[in-house]
Amino acid sequence: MRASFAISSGGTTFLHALDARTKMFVGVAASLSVIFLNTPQSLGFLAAASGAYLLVLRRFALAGVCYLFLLLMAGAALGFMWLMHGIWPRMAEPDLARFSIPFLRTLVLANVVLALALSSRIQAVLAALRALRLPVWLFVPTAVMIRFIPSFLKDIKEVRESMKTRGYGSGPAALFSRPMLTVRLLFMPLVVRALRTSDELGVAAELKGVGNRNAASCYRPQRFSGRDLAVACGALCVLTAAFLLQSGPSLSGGMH
Amino acid sequence: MDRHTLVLGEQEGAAAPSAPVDAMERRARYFEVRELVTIGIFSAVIRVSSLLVALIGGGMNPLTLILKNLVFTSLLVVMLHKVRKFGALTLFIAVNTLVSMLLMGGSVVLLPAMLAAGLVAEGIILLLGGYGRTMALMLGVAAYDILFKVGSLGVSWLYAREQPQMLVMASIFIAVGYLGSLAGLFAGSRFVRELRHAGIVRD
Repeated sequence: MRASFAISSGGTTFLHALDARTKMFVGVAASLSVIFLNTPQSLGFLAAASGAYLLVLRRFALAGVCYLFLLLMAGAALGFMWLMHGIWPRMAEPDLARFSIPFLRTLVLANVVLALALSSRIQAVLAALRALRLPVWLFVPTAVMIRFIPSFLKDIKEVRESMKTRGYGSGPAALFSRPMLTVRLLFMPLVVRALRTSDELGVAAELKGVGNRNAASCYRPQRFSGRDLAVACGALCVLTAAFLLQSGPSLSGGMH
Repeated sequence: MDRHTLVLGEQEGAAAPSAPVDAMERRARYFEVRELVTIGIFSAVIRVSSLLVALIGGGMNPLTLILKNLVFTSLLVVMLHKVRKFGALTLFIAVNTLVSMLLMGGSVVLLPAMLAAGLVAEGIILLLGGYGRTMALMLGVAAYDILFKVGSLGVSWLYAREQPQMLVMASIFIAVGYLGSLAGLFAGSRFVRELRHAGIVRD
């Protein structure tokens, strides 16, 4: 059982030194704001600011791959919309300016989520969740879920290797030629493993006193620093500027 | 180490807790820790499995959509057979929405819609005989999945309202995916039969 799996973020940039709660706050604030922002100017400004926030990490190649993927998604969506317009002319022709708005929203969210994911260790995220003082019934499954996602990704890799050893394919060709068999071979071991792990981990957690009324101590207590405050204030300033940009007289778009 | 010993000592009843603390403990222990762990583990497995199917088959073809949803509902049926308590489905939804919201840029507005979907589904399970009946679980999961999809579509509208044509395509994808969800209910029930036979899931 690999309950102590950890991913090292291995960097030393400004973002790595931030508390995970600050990065979560930036993410939640951005995801709420993009719902209300609806002009290309305000969303473009927010996308540029969040892009700069992400590029502090200096992971240019990875950011480039993600942007390319988003661009491909946008291209596919545009293609489908042209296709639908061709088949059913009553459907409005796609307008590029308006079409850009949903994708600018996605871009903002991708930037803040990548910044959080690439600069936070799993332990830091778990400590941040603990610091949020969630009730035990919500904290325990959330922590287990976050902790085990990397572990199950590794398990899937092992299951695929064992399928290959036994002569079964696990790639797209196998999925399309024998979909049910492939899904069964891939997921049955995973389900059994998940059930066994949950039994073992449940017993271990009970033995360690998880869920009792005594507060758990923290090896490294989470504390906000001056830079957390600066980033939170900076994020609020950027969001305010984006809203001002939207409500400006020359750029008013209004809610559609 | 000392602290740990003290904690265990207290648990064994050395200190007499007050009545309000007792009541809080009873509320907290409606779900046992092992059940909470099972919900967390299945949340991880379901997320990883959906991602895997999407990566292997590509996200935008009907077969991948069907298989992704099939895996989702079948694993959910297995989880509900393992944690047979009112609230398990709603807790699963709350955990997933919380992780999406805090770590994956998911929308906060999705939370009330998802919790409502979970409670409606749990109501259906209760009305049809409770968590002890496989058919009730299957219908509850089917109801949750369609409500979840409709809720997601509503949130998608918030994000893509300037270009509502995009939602037509999304609705088609959702309809195709729901066929997989329905098939997943039966696949899940079959998984449970096999797991019962192997002694991994007990009645």
